[in-house]
Amino acid sequence: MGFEDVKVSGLESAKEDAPAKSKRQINILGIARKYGMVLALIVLIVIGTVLSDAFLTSRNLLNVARQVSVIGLLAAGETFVILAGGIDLSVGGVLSASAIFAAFNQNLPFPLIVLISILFGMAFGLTTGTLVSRAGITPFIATMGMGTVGDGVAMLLSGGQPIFVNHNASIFSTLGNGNFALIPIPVIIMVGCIGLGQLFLSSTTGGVYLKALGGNEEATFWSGVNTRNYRTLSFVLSGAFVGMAAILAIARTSVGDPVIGQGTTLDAISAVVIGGTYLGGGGVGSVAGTLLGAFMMGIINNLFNLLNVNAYWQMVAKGVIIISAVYIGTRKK
Amino acid sequence: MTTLLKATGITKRFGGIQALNRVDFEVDKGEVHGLVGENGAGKSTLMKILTGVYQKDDGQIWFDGSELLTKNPMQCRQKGIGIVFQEPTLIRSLDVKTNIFLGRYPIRKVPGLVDWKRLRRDALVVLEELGISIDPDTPVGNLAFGKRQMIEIAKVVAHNAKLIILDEPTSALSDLEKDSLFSTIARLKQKGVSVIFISHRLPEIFEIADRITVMRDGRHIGTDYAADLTTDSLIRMMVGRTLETAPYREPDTVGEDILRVEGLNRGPVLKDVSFSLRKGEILGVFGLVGSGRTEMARALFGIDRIDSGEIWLNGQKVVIRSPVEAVKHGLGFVPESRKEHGIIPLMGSGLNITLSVLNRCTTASVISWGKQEAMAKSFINKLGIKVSGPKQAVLNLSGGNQQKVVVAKWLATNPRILILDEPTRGIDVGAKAEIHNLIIQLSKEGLSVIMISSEMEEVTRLSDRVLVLYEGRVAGILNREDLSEENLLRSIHGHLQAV
Repeated sequence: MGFEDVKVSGLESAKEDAPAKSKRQINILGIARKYGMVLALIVLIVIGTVLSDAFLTSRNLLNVARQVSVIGLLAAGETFVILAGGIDLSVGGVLSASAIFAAFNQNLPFPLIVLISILFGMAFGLTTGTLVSRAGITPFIATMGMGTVGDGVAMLLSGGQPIFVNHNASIFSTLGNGNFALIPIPVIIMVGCIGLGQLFLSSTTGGVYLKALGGNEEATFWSGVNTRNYRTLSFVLSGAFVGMAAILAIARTSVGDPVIGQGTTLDAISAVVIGGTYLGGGGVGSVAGTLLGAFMMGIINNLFNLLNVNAYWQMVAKGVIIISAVYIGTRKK
Repeated sequence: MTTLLKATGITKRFGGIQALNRVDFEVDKGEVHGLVGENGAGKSTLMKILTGVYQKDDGQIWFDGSELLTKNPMQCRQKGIGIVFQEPTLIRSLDVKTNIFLGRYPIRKVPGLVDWKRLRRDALVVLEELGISIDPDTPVGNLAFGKRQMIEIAKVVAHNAKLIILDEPTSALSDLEKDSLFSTIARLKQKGVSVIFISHRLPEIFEIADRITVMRDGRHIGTDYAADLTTDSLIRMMVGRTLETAPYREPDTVGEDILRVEGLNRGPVLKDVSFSLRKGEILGVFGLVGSGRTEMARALFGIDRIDSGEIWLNGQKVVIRSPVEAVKHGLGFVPESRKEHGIIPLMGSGLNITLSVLNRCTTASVISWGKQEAMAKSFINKLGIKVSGPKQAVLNLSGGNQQKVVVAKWLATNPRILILDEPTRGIDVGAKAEIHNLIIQLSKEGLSVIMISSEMEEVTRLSDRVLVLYEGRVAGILNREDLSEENLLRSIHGHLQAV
């Protein structure tokens, strides 16, 4: 279309100098935001090194990474929901249910167990997503309800008792405790899944639409995007990551534990928020940031343990850290 | 007259950008002072400094005989500087009186208990003073947009404001509502209250202002009595260049019917609305607030469900149940409210532009960022959108540039029919002329345009035909040769008499 001629003369000159200035400014801001996280992580590591001799050893750090893998996956899934302006309080409950469901079906071929665990999580996500996007129930209530359903399903299937894994035991054990080129296998799986998630976010239309949804749902709807479907998708993706996390959770202990998910929801949300994703809308954030957030949470936990901090104080501290992270996020917005 | 406000040498920087450069500004007691300037001229920044939202870097402000050293909006309000923003600040579920005195309710002897009788009495006094005949017990949500704006003003007046800043107060008002706003302003003047009136509509400025100040690029360009200025001289001061004005449209380019709407009904807001749109036509839609203008467009675009009625596109009956389907049928919709329905504020302007066509920049649903950026950049250039780059967040753009981003988003879809709802609301004269020219250019290229506007000048200038709506019904359709501001008003009044 040739409507160049509509430009009113005189605009160009103003255009020339303004961009150069603001571009530099934005870059500094962007860098500060990006590396602020890494900086905080480095500061944490320095503090840890000073406070405890046992902290800065490859064994300890790899162990932290291994411990972080389950929460890391949950948090990665949670990122999609929060990025799209929602919240998923069901990941803990669904994790318990998925773990029990997978352990319950342990005599299937191993790849199939992984598959059905992921599908199980996705089914939960689909239900939650439908409740939110079609029935109009707020994510807060819908996911809290579905999380409780998950807890209930875990108890029903297991009778309240842990299910020990006898079939495929060696595969599970290798998966949970083995190493590949010195790196714990669960860490490799977590990083791989998060990489896939990041790829989805940063290079597919779906990823952009999720961010748009979080940025302004109405405007996205008016732009001709099927916002309901993408809202649902955010929960389905979260469910898929929960399903994968359930496999790792079993693999770590060789047990399907019906209460494995307790307390994990808040940890996952914390990792997302510490990782720089805006809570409560905005459409800014990344799965890669969440990975860093999860590591930071893991290191803090690890330090508390190394320094023999009372477990109850740990809970208090964790709550304070989460609120602080959200506070900082709000200020940035 | 005595000077109420005197600001000298006001300077403000944001990072590397000089938003205000040694600006002098003066308002007399009981004066209506017009403030004009293109987007980015620094009007809003200056007003935010006056109201304590921003702190000045340099300069002095004297207000009502003493230096203004306030640090926040609350203190400024207590000193007597009030502002009515473009965006509504009223709580819709509360009634008029409760809104007017929000945060300052008269208290009974027992602390915490509101003296509702006194509240109502005080509210009546304020409303009467301003000549607003609205029952103070009406929930604000039940009032039309124009009435709500009156309540916003009443709220500021109730705070004993000596200076009231009205930022684009008429942009959402129909011409009739504007008149009653102006009579309210006249009453304020009588009370000795000063008003700073910011508007992009120059005829209004001339109508209401005693003096006019022009700003450009963060500088004070000039202040003069309205009587000594002309529209031309004002525009020259504003833009520092002469403007091409939108030419009247050649009526011969219009082709066959592309869209036919028959008997559209939706609850109480749309009643048996029928009209047609031809290829390459600009169909103006005119009506007061509440006439069903926007509702008609929303129904057409699939945002609201219709109760009955038929939509025929290119001779084929279609059902449009969502914007997704509307886009598939080649419709585009530039909404009235940019912030609510148009932009994704924290997202880059490039992504905003390509949002509706992102799936055309992909191979196997993986985005080709090169393609996406090229597309975004081509529209940034075509529409002359002022951005540092496609990654700059839309939030940081001026209103006119934000609007261009939204228009670009729809042009990117290469639509057959483009609905524009108040396309130049809150936009400076320069950007307005550009958008007008763009609309004309697009229609010449065969795009059919439905342009909803409450500005009679815009409607008469651009439209081939005008659909006039009144209370959800078609009050009349005016052809090119019958188009005049008088006829537009007459068609509304003609309908009024028929009812």
